[in-house]
Amino acid sequence: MKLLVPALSEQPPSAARLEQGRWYDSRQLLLAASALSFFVLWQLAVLIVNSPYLPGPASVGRALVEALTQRDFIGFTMGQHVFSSLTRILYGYLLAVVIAVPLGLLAGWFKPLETLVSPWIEMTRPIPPLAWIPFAIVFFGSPFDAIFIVFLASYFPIFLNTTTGVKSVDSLLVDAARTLGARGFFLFWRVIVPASFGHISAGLRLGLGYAWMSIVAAEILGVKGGGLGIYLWTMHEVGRFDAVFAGMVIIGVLGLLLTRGVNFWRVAASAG
Amino acid sequence: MYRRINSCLSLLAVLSVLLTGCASAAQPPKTDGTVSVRVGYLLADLHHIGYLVASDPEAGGGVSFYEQNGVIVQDALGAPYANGGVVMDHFASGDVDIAFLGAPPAITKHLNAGVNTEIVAQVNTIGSALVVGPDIQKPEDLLGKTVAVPGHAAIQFFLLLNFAQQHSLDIGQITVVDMPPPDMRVKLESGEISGFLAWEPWPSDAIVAGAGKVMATSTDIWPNHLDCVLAVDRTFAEENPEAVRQFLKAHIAATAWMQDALADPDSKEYKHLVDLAETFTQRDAVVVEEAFNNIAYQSALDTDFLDSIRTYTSKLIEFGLIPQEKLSERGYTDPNDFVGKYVNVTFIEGLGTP
Repeated sequence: MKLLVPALSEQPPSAARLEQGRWYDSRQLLLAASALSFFVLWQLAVLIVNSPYLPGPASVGRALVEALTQRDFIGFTMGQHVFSSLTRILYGYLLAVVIAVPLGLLAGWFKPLETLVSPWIEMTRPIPPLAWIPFAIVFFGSPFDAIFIVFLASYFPIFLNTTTGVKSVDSLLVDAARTLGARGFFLFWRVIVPASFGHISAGLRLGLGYAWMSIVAAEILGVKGGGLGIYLWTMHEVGRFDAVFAGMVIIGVLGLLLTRGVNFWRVAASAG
Repeated sequence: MYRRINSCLSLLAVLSVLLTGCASAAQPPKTDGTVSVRVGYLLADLHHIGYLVASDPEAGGGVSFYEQNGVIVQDALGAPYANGGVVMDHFASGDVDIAFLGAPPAITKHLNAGVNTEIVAQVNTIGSALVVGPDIQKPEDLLGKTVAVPGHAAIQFFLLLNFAQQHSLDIGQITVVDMPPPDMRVKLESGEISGFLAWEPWPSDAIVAGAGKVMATSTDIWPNHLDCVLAVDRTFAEENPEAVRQFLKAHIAATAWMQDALADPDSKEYKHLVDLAETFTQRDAVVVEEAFNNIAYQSALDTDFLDSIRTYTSKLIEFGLIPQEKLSERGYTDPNDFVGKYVNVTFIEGLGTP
C-alpha cells in the first residue's frame, strides 16, 4: 500500500500519455463521455416524460444560478443552507465515528463484548432512522434531534465495518506478530488496527453517505437556521422542482467533495 | 435449465399479476355508468371532516349523501395525505380525482409545477390560530423568539406575516421554522418554540392541554380568509362532468348538515358530528368542540372567496413563492385572469345557490 501511492504519483497521467504518443487522456475522455451521456439521457427523459416534475438541465441550471446568487423566499442564502447542513452532518457523523470505531474495534477483538452488544445492534439496526423522529423531538429538541438522526444513520455502517475489519485480519499476520513477541494492547494497536483500516475506511465512507441521505429527513423536523433539507422540502411544497433538482445537485457535489476528502485522508493515512 | 426457465416464467407471471393490480388501482372503476371517485384528503385535518360526514349513512338519514347522489367514493391511493403539497403530487401522478386541500398548495403547485387541477368549491374558511406559550403576553414579546408554521408555502406563514405587519413587528426578528403540526404542541411545551400558527385541531389541542393560549385566531388576522378548497383533476372533470356535479351535490348537502349541527350544540346531529370528528382526528371531544368554534364550513364560491384568492395569489408572486413568468407559462395574463380560469364556478352554479 505504501509503495503503490508514490508509484502512481511518480508518473502523472499526462506523462504516460505523451510517452505513448497520444494527445488525449483516455480516462478523462471516458469521464467526459459519461458526463455528456448523462445530460443527453436526462434531456431525453425530460422530452419523453414532459412534466414540470422532471425539469431539464437548462432550467435546473438557471435555478442553480438563482439559488447561488439570491436569497430564497424563506430568507436564506444557499451558503447559509449549506453551512447549517454541513454543521449538523459534521456533529452527527463525528459523534458516530467517535463511538462506533472504538466500540467496533473492541467488539471485533473481544468475543464476549461482541456477544454482549450484537443483540442490541441487530435489533436497532433495521429500524429506519426516521422512525426515531418522535423520540428525537421529545428528548433532544432542535438542533440535537437532527444531529441524532444523522448519528443513527451513520453509526451502524461504521460500527459493522469496523467489527468486520478486525475479524477479517489474516490469522497468519496475527500469528507472525505473536511469534515476534507482540502481545495484548501492542498487538491490538500495532497489528489489528492498521490491518483493519481498509474496512474501517469503507465504513467511514458508507457512514458519510448515509449521513447525507438522512439530513433531508432530519431537517424536516423543524430545525432553526435553514438547511438543505429545509430548502428541498420548501421548494417541493411550492412545486419549484427546478429548484429541488438544483438543491439535489448541490447535495451531490458536496457529497462527492466530502467523499473525496475522506478518500484523500485514507490514501494519506495509508501512505503515512 | 428447464427449472431455471420455469422459475423465470413464474417470476414474470407474478410480476404481471402485480402490475395488473397496480394498473387497475390507478383507474377509476366504473359500474353501470356510475363513476367511482378517488378522493384525496389530509390526515386528521378537521377542516376535511365533510368527507367523512358525506360518507356517513347516519348523517345522511340512513343513506350517505354520496350514495343519495349516486356517487361511489373511495380513498385515493395513499390517502389520507400529510399535507396539501402531497395531495397535488398525487393529482400529478393520476391517483386522485377530487381532493380536499388548502388553497395555497392548490395554487402554487398548479402554477409552479403545472398540476392540471381547478377549484370547484370551498370547504371551509378561517380555522387556524396563533398559539403562544406562557412567556408571551403581547405581540412584541415574540421578537427574538421562534414561531413554527406548517410550511412557508402554507397560508399560516402568510397569516403570520400579516400579524407581524398589523402589530408593527419586524418579521426578520422572529425565527420562523417549518414543522409538522402534530409536533408543535410538544415543542411549545418544551419551550423550544414560543408559539405556532397551525390549522385546527392542533391549536385547540394545545389550549386544552394547557400548553399555551390563543394570541390571535386567523379570522382576527384576516377576517373570513380563504382556507381549504375542493379541487378536481381537469381531465377527470372533462370526462366525467356528471360525477363532479353529483359529488358537489353531496358535498354541499354535507356542509349544510354540518352548519345546522354546529348551530345547535344540543342536537343529536351535533353529538354525532363530534363523534365523527373524534374518530377522524383521534382527539378528545373537548378538543374537537373547541376547534369547531374556530372553523366556518362553507362550499359556495362567493365574491369574498374570489377576492381572497386573488389577493393571496398576488402576494405569493410578490413574496417570490411563484415566479412571475409561471403565470404566462400556464396561460394566464395576470392574477385576475388566473382566478377567472382556475376557479371553475360553472359546476356549482349549475346546481343552484347552495
